[in-house]
Amino acid sequence: MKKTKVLGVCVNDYGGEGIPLVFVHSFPMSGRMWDKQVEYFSEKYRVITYDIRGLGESTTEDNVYSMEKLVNDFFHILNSLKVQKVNACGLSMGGYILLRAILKDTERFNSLILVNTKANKDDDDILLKRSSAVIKIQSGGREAYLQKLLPKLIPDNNPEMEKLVKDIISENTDEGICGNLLALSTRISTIDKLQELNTPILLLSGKDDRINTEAESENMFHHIKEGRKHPIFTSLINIKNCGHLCNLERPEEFNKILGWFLKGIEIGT
Amino acid sequence: MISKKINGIAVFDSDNGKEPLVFVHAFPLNSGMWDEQEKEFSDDFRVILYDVRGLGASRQSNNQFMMEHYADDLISIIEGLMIERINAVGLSMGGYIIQRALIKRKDLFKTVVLADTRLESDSNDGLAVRASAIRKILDGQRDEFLEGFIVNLFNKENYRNTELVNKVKALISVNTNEGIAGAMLALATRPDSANSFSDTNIPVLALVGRDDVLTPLECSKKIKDSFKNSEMVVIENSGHLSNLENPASFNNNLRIFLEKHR
Repeated sequence: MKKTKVLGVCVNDYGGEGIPLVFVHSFPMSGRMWDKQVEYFSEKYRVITYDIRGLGESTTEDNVYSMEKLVNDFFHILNSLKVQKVNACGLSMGGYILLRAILKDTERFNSLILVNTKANKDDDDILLKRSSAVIKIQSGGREAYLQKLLPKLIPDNNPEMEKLVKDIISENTDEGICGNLLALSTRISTIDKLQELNTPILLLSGKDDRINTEAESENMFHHIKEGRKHPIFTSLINIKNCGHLCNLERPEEFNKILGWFLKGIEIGT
Repeated sequence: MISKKINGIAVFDSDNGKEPLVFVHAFPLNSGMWDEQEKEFSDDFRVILYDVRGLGASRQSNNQFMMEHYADDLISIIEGLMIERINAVGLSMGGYIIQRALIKRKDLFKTVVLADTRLESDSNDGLAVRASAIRKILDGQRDEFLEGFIVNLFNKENYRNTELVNKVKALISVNTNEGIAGAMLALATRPDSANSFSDTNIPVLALVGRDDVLTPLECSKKIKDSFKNSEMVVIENSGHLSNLENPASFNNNLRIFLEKHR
């Protein structure tokens, strides 16, 4: 594995041939959340993970974050690794980044995998929740904030996953978490643009996800299908008994589905 | 004016025991934009000015904030000065701040003047414009951004008034890149207040420059329609910065409104 920094963003390139498979993590985690996917896919694919700016080992010079900046970081990474096309998989915030990215430059995507994400921007209720979270964390209430967030990320009776998620989050700074909350609040709605996409897309949705519900994935699915001129690979798959962090909660199932999808594209193209 | 710091915010208070009149400035300026109003109203009001978080003398080391921080700052200034109720005047961003504070704490406001502002939150396109502006500012193209931005603050005629334009540039020049970018993010993350005021009885004056292109007349009409006890006045010969472009008319209309509800 080769670790590089691209404008302060920490990138892990596991090497290999062919079109790379890039994983973009969720809030407020880091690239480490994809360890089980790295293990499973890196034999067959060139896997790339990275820490979103402000999280994990990625740093920032000015503490000013916006969704646009995170999207530009994604392109900077591809350019710096001299990668033209990718298969990209994003969960939640990772999905927001990839949705914006694919609408900016469709050509860079061989396929897109969106896990528990949505194309709508924050409504006012969520905006206000985010601002009260930022204010809380800035005034020393990080633990109280996380206590409310963690039950939405971690299922009951999964101490191993609980330990991992807490451990990953504990490495993140207050400023990085707040900055990313701000970036989340600045994203624009992409739902009306989904019809323009003609890339193979897989939507994965955990049935019990309380953050981005099944309905959000279904909504995206209908918009994407509406615009399809050719029968290009578009699927929506629900994972039962699974919450927000599908890849950690049901890694075997997640990896299998993702593997089938990638294989399907190879056969199809 | 007596300078005070309240929660890291630079407050300038005439503290003369009269009725409080608080002015909240526009993006990306500072409290200096209210010079003409300070002169006009200091004799018979307790004029209070402040620099919005991250701008002017309220510079911060961490510029991560949202509209909610701004609203909380205004509330904590009123409470910090131990004032019961204020007359509040906000222009553009100042208007957004007052709207949010009003939603949270109606009890703190006696009258509200919303100048060259709007109720709606940023549209998709608006958000994208802000994002590219932030990138420009932080990528060392602050001057290019400001050149393009300042043109839209004035009407055509006033933009030829070098003294006025230079005054605004000078007000902006003291602000840091991070402060400006931070304020832009706060603007971008504001909620919509179009449906928030139907049961607000507080007297409201909507003021707007005839030639305002950033928040055109319709925005103020919506403000007027959205409050029960409201009126709207158009300031002639003015763009977005109506208090600076036509101070005589701005002050005159503000005075009529304040006297009516005194």
